[in-house]
Parts: sequence; C-alpha cells; structure tokens
Amino acid sequence: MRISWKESGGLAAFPGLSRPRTVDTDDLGPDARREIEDLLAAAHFFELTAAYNGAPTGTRDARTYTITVEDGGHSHTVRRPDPLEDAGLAAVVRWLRARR
Amino acid sequence: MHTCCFILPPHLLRHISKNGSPSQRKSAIDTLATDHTIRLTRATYQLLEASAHQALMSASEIHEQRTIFDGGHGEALPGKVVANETSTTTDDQCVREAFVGLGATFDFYYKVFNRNSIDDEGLHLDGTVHYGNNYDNAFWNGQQMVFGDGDGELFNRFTCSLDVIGHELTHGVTGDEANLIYLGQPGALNESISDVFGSMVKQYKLGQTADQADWLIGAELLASGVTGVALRSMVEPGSAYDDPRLGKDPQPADMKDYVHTNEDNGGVHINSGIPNRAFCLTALALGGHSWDKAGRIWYETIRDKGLKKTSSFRQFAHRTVINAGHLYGSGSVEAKAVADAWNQVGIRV
Repeated sequence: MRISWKESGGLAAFPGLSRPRTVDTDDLGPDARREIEDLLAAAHFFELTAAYNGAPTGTRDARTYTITVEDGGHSHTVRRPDPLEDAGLAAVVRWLRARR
Repeated sequence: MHTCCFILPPHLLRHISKNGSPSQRKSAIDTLATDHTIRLTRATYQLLEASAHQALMSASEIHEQRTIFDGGHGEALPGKVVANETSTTTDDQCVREAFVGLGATFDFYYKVFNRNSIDDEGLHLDGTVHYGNNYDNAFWNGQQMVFGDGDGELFNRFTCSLDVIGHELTHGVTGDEANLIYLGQPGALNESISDVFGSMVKQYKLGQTADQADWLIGAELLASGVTGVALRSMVEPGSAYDDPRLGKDPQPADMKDYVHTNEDNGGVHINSGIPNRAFCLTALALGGHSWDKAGRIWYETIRDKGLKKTSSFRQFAHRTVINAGHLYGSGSVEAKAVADAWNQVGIRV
C-alpha cells in the first residue's frame, strides 16, 4: 500500500511543510504497518467522497489535506479542510502528520 | 448637536446613532424619532426602538462577551466551556492567553474605531484552545477562533501571539465589511488586512509608535531551534525565516516579484507581503501611532462601499488614497504618504 499526502494553507505558507510526502507500507515495521492499515479501514477511506468544493464559508487560515491511497490496483484521493469532522479521517491525518 | 442633527440626512443620523458619543447618539435618535417618515409607519418606529435601545447603551454597558472552550485535543468544535466573563479562574496558560487576547482585540476596535466587536453589533467572541493533537495552526472558522498547542519542535502554542489573535478576529471584521473573496489578489488583501490590524492590536496594547513596532506577525510562535524570527515580516517581507524544515519565507516585497501560484488559494499568504509593506511604509512615513492615521485610512477603506469583494491590489490602493483624501484632504500629507507607499511597492495610484 502506498500513501501520498500533502497539506496546504494554514496561518502562513511554509514551503517546507507543503511538500508532498509518500509512505509505502512495505517500508514500515509490522506494528506501524498494521496501525495505519487499521486506521484507514476504520475510516472507510475508499468509501469517502473525494469531492471537495473549497473551505466552508467564512473559514480562513484553515489547512487542507489531500490524501491518496493506492492499494492492489485501486487508487482513491480524498481532500478535506480543517476542522476535520470525520473522526476516522482525523485519526489518519494525525498518524501521517506525526511522520512529517 | 440636536440642531446639527436636524439638517443631516437620515443615513448620517443612523450612522451617528450607532457610532457617535453617548450624547450624540441620543440626539441623533431623538431627531430620527421626530422625522416625518418615521412617524408614518408603526413598523419602522418599532425597528427604531430596537436600534435605539442598542445605540443608547452607555459606554460602560458595551463590553466584550468572551467564552473560551477546551477542545480536549480533539477536532470537534467548540468543546467544553472553561472561561467566560463570569468565570475566569484558571491555571491553564492557553485559556488565559486566549481570554486576554480576545479582550485586547475587542478593546482596540472599540476604543480606536468605536466598533462594537467583530460585527459592530456586539458579537460574542468565542475561542477553542487545545484543538487537535500538537496541532500547528490557528484559524477562524467563520464563527470562532481555533488554537492549536503547537508541536513544540517547530511551533509554540498558538495562543501566545497577540497579533495572531488580532489577525484571526480581523478575518471576522473583513467578512462583515468588505468580504474580500479568499483567492488571488483579493484573498491576499484579506490576509494583509488581518496582518495590518493584528499588528496594530499588539502595538496598541504595548503603546508603541510605528517606529517602535517590530512589524512581525507571530514573533512568539517559532520554537527555539527554528531559524527565523516570525511567520511574516511586514516591514521586510521575505525575511521572516529560512529554515531547513520550514523552507524560506516566500513573501515578495514588491509587485515585480509577485508570485503566481495555484497553492495557498493563489498565494493569499504569500503576496500579502506587498500590501503589508505598503501599510507599514505609510505608517512609518506618517509617524506616531499607526492606528491614528494609517490605521484609520485602512479601516475606512475596508468599510468603503466602493471597495468590491473582487478588488485587485491596485483598486484597493486607489480606495486608500481616496479615503485618505476624505479624511485629511486630497492634497494632504497623509494622502501623499499613502500614494507614495503604494508606488514604493510597485503599484501606481
């Protein structure tokens, strides 16, 4: 499984923090691999809608997360702004951000 | 004042009834109440009664209504109430800083511009602290402020910077007034206005003149070990940080270096450096407290009905010169300082 993600926006535009990042679960230890696979399954990631039509009205300085998961010939991209209302997706983002 | 009010058109009377001193407000309302058109309809009179109640509130009755919530390191908003105007006892540094910062911002807008909160109608000021887990950001969600704790490696807690609190709340003011769209040049103006007023909130709190101010945004936020001084520099855009993890501050200081990008809503936090510097140059040229003249000109511009929500830098610059003329005279030192500042950042007005 290959996970690509990128965060943009926020209170300031930091070029170093908005770089795209990639994690291949084959490169992870067994515990970390199981952890992210469980989080993606709990979030029902492949069932989440991809569509995103901009930040909610009036929201300013919020971050936007773009996550793509490729697994067994399937690829799915989800894009969401803060605040992350989906607890499952929020847990995935927390895991990814911790590896920044 | 009463006689004076009588010869004023209704829209000016209504303005005075909202924004004048207590005695001016009472006179304006009395005058409006005797106006022929108002006596014609009961409905209008009832509306006036409602607005009069607010307008007649004495200065001592107008004060901030703050509530701080604890997000408990989750993402659900607003969280649990931990402080308000009747219960402020707390050992939590973030709660204290958010409470004081919201109050300082309210004070600035009320005492300098006679603005009663974000919407000028006493909107309650809400903020959530401890949002997310080591969350490296603060934002305005259209209704309230949200503060992360920072990760301690790149960023400190986001409540520790007063100009950032002023920045976020000013997004609410801009949304209530000019409502500049959050994309490209109007988006960068939206961001710049938040920096301009956020910086003035800090300067006002510290009693600083323009030449004493650091003109930095978020000077307290970068953790020790980060190579940088702040998130942005208004006086020298592009110089705030150059760090292996954060990258280099991408802000331009002049239109010739304008950054064309699809990132960051078309560079709203990047190209805001240009109008930021124009304000800074204006304030430094005029001297004294930035809020007295430069701030007043910018404030009247964001309230200017001639400012479109899609305004470009040049259109905004043009309105600042017009408003400086309205306030101080079209050939005044102030109007010339504003035009000179825009010309120095590459925008001809």
